[in-house]
Amino acid sequence: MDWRQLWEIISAPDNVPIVALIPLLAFYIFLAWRQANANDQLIAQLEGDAALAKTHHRKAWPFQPGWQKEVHVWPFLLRMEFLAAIIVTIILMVWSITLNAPLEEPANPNLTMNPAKAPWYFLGLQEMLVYFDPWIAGVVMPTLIIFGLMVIPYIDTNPLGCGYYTWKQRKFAIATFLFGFIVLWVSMIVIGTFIRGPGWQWFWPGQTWDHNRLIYEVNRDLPDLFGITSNWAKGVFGALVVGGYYAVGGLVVHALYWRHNPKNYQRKSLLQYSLMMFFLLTMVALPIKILFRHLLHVKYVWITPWFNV
Amino acid sequence: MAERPVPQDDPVVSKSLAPHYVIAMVVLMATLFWALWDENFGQRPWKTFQQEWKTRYSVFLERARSKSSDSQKNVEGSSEYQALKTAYDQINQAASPHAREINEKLRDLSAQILAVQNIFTDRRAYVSALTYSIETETSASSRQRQQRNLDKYKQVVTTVEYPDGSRHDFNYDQLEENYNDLKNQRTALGTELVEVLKPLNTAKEKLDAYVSEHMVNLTPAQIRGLLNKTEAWSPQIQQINVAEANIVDRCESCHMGIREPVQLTAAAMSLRGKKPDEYARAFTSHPEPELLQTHDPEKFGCSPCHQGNGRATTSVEKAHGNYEHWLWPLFPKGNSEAGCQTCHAADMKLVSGDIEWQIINQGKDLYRQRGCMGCHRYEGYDKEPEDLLSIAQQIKQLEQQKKESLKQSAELMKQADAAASNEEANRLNDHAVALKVANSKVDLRIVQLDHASKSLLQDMKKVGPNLKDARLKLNRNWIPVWLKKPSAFRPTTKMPDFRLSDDQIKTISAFLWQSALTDALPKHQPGNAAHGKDLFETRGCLGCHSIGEGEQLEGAHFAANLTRVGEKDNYDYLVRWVHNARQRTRPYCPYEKKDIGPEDYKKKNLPYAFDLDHSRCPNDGHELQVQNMTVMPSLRLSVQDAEDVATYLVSLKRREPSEYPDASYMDDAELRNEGKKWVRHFGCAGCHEISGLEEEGRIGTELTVEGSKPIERLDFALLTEVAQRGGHEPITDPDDQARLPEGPARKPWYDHKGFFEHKLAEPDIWDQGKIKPETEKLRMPNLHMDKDQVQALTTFLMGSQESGLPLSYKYQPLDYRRDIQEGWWIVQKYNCVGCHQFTPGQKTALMSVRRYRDAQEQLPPQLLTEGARVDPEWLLHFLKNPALNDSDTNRNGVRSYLQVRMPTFSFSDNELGKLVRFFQALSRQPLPYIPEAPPPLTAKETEMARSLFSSTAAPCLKCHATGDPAHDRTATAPNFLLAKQRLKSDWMERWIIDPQAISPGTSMPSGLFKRENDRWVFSGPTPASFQGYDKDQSKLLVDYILQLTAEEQRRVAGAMDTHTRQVAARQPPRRWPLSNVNVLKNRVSVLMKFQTTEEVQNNMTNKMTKKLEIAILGLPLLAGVFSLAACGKKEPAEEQPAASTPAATTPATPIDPATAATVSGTVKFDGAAPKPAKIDMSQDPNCKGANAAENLVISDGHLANVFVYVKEGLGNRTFETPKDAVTLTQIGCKYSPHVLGVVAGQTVKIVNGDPTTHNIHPTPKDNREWNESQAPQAAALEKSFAREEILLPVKCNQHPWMKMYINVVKNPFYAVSATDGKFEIKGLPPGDYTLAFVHEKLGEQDQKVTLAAKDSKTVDVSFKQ
Repeated sequence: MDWRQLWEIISAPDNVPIVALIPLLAFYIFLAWRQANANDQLIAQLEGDAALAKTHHRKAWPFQPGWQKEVHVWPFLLRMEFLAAIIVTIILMVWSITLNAPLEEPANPNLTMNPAKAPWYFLGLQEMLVYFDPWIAGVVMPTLIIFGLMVIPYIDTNPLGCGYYTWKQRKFAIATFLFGFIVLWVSMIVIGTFIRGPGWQWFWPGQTWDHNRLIYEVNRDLPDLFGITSNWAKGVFGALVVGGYYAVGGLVVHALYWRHNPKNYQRKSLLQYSLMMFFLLTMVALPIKILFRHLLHVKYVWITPWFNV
Repeated sequence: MAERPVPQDDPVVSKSLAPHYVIAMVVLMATLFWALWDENFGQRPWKTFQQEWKTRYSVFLERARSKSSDSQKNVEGSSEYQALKTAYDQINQAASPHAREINEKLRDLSAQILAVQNIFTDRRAYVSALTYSIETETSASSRQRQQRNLDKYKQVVTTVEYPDGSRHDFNYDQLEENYNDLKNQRTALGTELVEVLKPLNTAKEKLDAYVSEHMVNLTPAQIRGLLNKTEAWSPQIQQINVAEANIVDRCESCHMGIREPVQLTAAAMSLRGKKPDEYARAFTSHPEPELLQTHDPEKFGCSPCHQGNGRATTSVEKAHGNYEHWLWPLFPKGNSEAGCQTCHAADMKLVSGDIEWQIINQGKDLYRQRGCMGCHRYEGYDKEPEDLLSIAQQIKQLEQQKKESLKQSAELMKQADAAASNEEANRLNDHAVALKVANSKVDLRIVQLDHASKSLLQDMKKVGPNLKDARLKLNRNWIPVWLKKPSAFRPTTKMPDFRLSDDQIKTISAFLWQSALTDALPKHQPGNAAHGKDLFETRGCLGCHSIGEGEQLEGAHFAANLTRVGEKDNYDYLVRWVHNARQRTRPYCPYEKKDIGPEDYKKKNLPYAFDLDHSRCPNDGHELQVQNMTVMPSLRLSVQDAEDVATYLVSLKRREPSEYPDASYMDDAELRNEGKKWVRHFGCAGCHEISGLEEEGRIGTELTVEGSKPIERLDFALLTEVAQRGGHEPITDPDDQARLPEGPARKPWYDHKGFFEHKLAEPDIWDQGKIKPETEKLRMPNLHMDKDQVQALTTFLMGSQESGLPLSYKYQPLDYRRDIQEGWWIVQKYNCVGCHQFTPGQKTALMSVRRYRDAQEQLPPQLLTEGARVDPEWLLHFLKNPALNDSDTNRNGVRSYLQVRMPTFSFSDNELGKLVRFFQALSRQPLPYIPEAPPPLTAKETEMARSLFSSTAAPCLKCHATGDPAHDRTATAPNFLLAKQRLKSDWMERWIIDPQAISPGTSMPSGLFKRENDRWVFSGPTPASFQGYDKDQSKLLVDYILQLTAEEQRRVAGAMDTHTRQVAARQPPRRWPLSNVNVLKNRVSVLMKFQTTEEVQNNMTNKMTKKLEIAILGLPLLAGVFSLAACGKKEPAEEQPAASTPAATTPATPIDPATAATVSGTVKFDGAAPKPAKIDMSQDPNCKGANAAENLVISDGHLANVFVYVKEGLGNRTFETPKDAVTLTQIGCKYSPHVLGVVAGQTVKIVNGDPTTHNIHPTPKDNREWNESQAPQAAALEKSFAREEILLPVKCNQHPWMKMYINVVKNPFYAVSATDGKFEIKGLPPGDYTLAFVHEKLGEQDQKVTLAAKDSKTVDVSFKQ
């Protein structure tokens, strides 16, 4: 094991945000979970006491008698926020004093770096390029991400859980978020930073990033696996598979959603529901494709002259 | 919220955040201060450097100032200064009253002007404003009105109050007039003051100039200036900004001392009593200030030469570029000369002033010598094949053009015949004629190109031998053994080790054997090996070749070591090679691409003869390669001599050729093709001529800009990680590891330096761990170089960069410097430096050869000022034919007395031209040179000049050859008759005045002329006819020599010899040292082939006896000189202990005279005393001393002339140099004393007590060499020796037997044993000492002795033969 290599990556000034991201993410999820848990218990208690539920707006558990039912933003929230602002200022100042901007040599068009990596916040997108063609990974997917994020308020019909931590009241939303953020975004950044070495090859942590490494890997298109040769047939087959995915996946999700989340289902219009379905299935498609690639060496599923999926 | 009481236990409401805020704010403020500190100091480490610089440099300057004022006092104490000072004072006194008066007037005037000025300028402003309104007023009436206002204003009267209190009223015009008047007065007074002070200022300037000229260091005033500057310094970035070259260097922000006018060393800049630290090393001044003179930092900055990140200021690592992302880190110390290569890639040799840049020069040279250029193209190296190709193409094109023109002109003429009108016909005819004329021009161009290609073919050389001759030359069975590992057979060979497998060796040797020519060589009879050995050692072969192995190795590594030549070479081939190495078996035609044989010549009915004069191909008329492509010249040996040398060389072997294992498989035709494949694969044709592979390209990568290749492009293969991490050296072979300049790698070496060093140390290193087929393995062979060579080549490659500087920064001179640049390529190519010295201090290969160690005058001439010395026309002639004679070529043209031979190099016309221009340019001589005829001499002048020429004080013909074989045998200088053609008269004049300055160490003595009344006057006695002659006597002599005829020379020589001949018979035959006899024998045998050896010897000794001279002049010896000589020996030893006091620099305990001890003793000689050798002094009739040699003086078993001194035990005591001089006398043509002791720096007074001219010539190792002539009764020479040196030999160029030894020691405790063997050293402080006893012949013995206070001990030693 080449721990020195790992240390070199971890200690690079470029990678400070990513390295920090991992423990911070864990910490804040833990914090959120603790708050949500407390709130959920309070909600349970309040639901048992109708009178209290009417007047109670402050979510704190265990709630002590005599505590105020409401606290004002000023000064109680703002003083905390200001303190946080000071601490963040300190962190940023120390960071900027101790670590210089990681500038490199002048760009040389005759000699590109290897691996050539995007800024850390784009590494997820770069990693997607491995699995989809540039049109899908570079244009369609980012657009869908933005639209998907924009659309959330309009398809979120759940009136509960606003302004406080809760799990029980927003299971679906939080699970979807965690899936999208941690699995699809953060983990891909982590892979791009720590796993992808020279030639964008997959190096496990502790493996030396050897520029001379040679691996043998053949990725085939899904139609090829089924012996389809004609281009037309490939397009039709791919469309069928993708369409089938959306149809079958939609049915499965529908069954689950309908069963576990009937209230929200009922609150949604058809447009809201189908939008949600589309974005959710597209999101899930990404890790499925990643698994297809890594486990089955499938390059593309749907091949057309204009795009490949 | 206010109405309800807040419960105390609600944490959100009740808990105070004050402590959190306090802590956060404190941390925030701390961070703020940290940020401020970082901004000011953390990011600006140079500020600390500059503060440190201020303190250290001030301390240094303070120290320097006190030293400097001491030396200023010394300067000011001199009489010249005092004279200047008195002059200055006088002028000062004369001028000062007047000056004071004018100054007072000026002061008054200035005050008056001030008073008027205030009022006047105010009024003038008003007038100007009014005038402007008038000018811009539109209506005439208002203009008039304004004009009236102005006139009125001008009439207004104002009062001026003068400084003395008086008041005056002026209107505007008066005021203006008054003001101008005052100002004019002031100007006049100012001019007057300047006039008055002028002589004073001139005197002051002279005074200051005198001080600064005579101070070795800076004057105190200058140092004070530096001190003030340093103290007033406030930290700031020091930046050199050259916009056009994009140089922004801030290096001097830390390296503050780089350009200071004083020499700063790390030790001088260290804190008192501390070792040099980081700061001290950063503050040193540039080690080569003269480099900065030619590379002005204001134009060049620092980074173009040194690299590094000139802009960075935040840390040392950043600034030096020692981080991953800076592509051009500072060149490491050992490779710093790589910086030269970035701009001086076109130079073969870098010499600044007369100092050579050894490392880069060695690198440049190795690149050629080791045959790197055979595989790797490098701009400028081995251009000939490329040029030849382009010329061939041009010729082809021109011929095509010619053909077409002919066709077209025929066509045109046909058209003209058929033309409708006469005009049309004429026009067409004219066109046709024009084409024909153009064709004749093309023809001329082709002739020129052919000529150029002849030169190129002649210049084209290969590093290795011609393998077409393999069959003729080599022992067949030796070839596989050689190929296995060339360095095993001959450790110094240029042929690298190719790591060949046995199969490869088999096939390669079979191919080489079968592809070689099979012509027959003429047979030769074996010669005389002893004579051959002698020729080999004396003719200068060792200037390029070496011989012997291990300790015995002698000579140069330019060409092969010949120790085992007998095992491999064919005798007949060797004879041809020694006779003329360029002689080729068959000529090669580059157009037909084949070797031309007799059959081709026969076809054209031509005789089968080819050489440089017959170099046209019989088939196509183009130039042929008629020479072997070797730089080995012809030594113009006769065939018989060549046979002798070859016989000697063939006798050199460790095993018999027949002992080699049989390799008859080399005749197996099946191996041939496989062998050719491998020969091609390994690029053998890069260095060798091989049949069928003449046009092979280079197999390696081009290296012209290898140093700027991105590191990613250098393939470290599986060792990338190892190199990046360091700590483990992949080269395990101890031989290869020893080649790494810095030893096994400890630190990371993932950089260009690391790559080159490892590659050169073990070229197949990147194959480590790789699995590759044989054909893909790295081909670069192991060049078996040593550390220094690897370092030099690494430096060369690191500097081979595509620099970002503008083209004008590259060294591409167009003037004489270009000739120098081009010349060095040739000089290095033919290894002229193996025999000749081109720059002072350059060591030639011959200098280190044992034979020449004591016979420096037998070395080839120094060429330090060759261009200024000789006529370029003559030089061209000489370089073409160094024998200067078409029939008798077995000789040297100029220095016929030298054993070593200037060979015939057969330079091409191109190279001849370049060489002549090179020598002229090296001495800055303008070209063309038009010699001036010497002015004709009057009869009286001729007579005077003749008396100088034949003066006994400067017997020119004693050393210079005359052409008379009897005389020339002892000559050591060229014949004067050559001077007319050869020398430039102005150079001759400078030469006879001070030859030592031109050619240090030459046998020609300095001091023949002295400066008197602004002209050069002969130092020796001159006849009465010289009275009233007021021109330069040196010039007279030169003019005489330039007009000297053979007849005149014979007459003068005859007159000088007359006396000697009469007594010759009475003198015993002169005994020559054996080696000299051999030398002479050879030379005579060359001249008189018909005689047997004994005859020669007899003949020679007879002739020699004629040379002997008797004393004719007996001047009474000066009694005073005798007495001086007698006491000179003991004097210093007795007096110095008292005078010695500890020096100021390193304090040592003073020697207390009360406790001083004495050592005395006797030096004995064990065994029978050999009879003292007799010296033959008959050469000079004025020499009438005792003729016993003094190298072993023994009487009654006591040994004299042993030098005894305290070698160890005095610690770091230093002693003051004794003020008294020691005297060395020349009396009876001997040095007296024979062994002299002197403290370093002490004056040695040299007196000539003989009626003949002596020539004192010390030949030290560690001191400065000089050589001066001393006429009889001339003033004593005062010399000193600065450095310790035991047994420093002193000889006399006039009298070869005169020899003595000076011992320069550091302390005054020494003695010389007297004839009774006794010696005594007094005044030693108590302690443990090592006494050394040194004798010139019997070596050194050391004795330990312990002395207590007031001790008196006896130490006896005895020497054995």
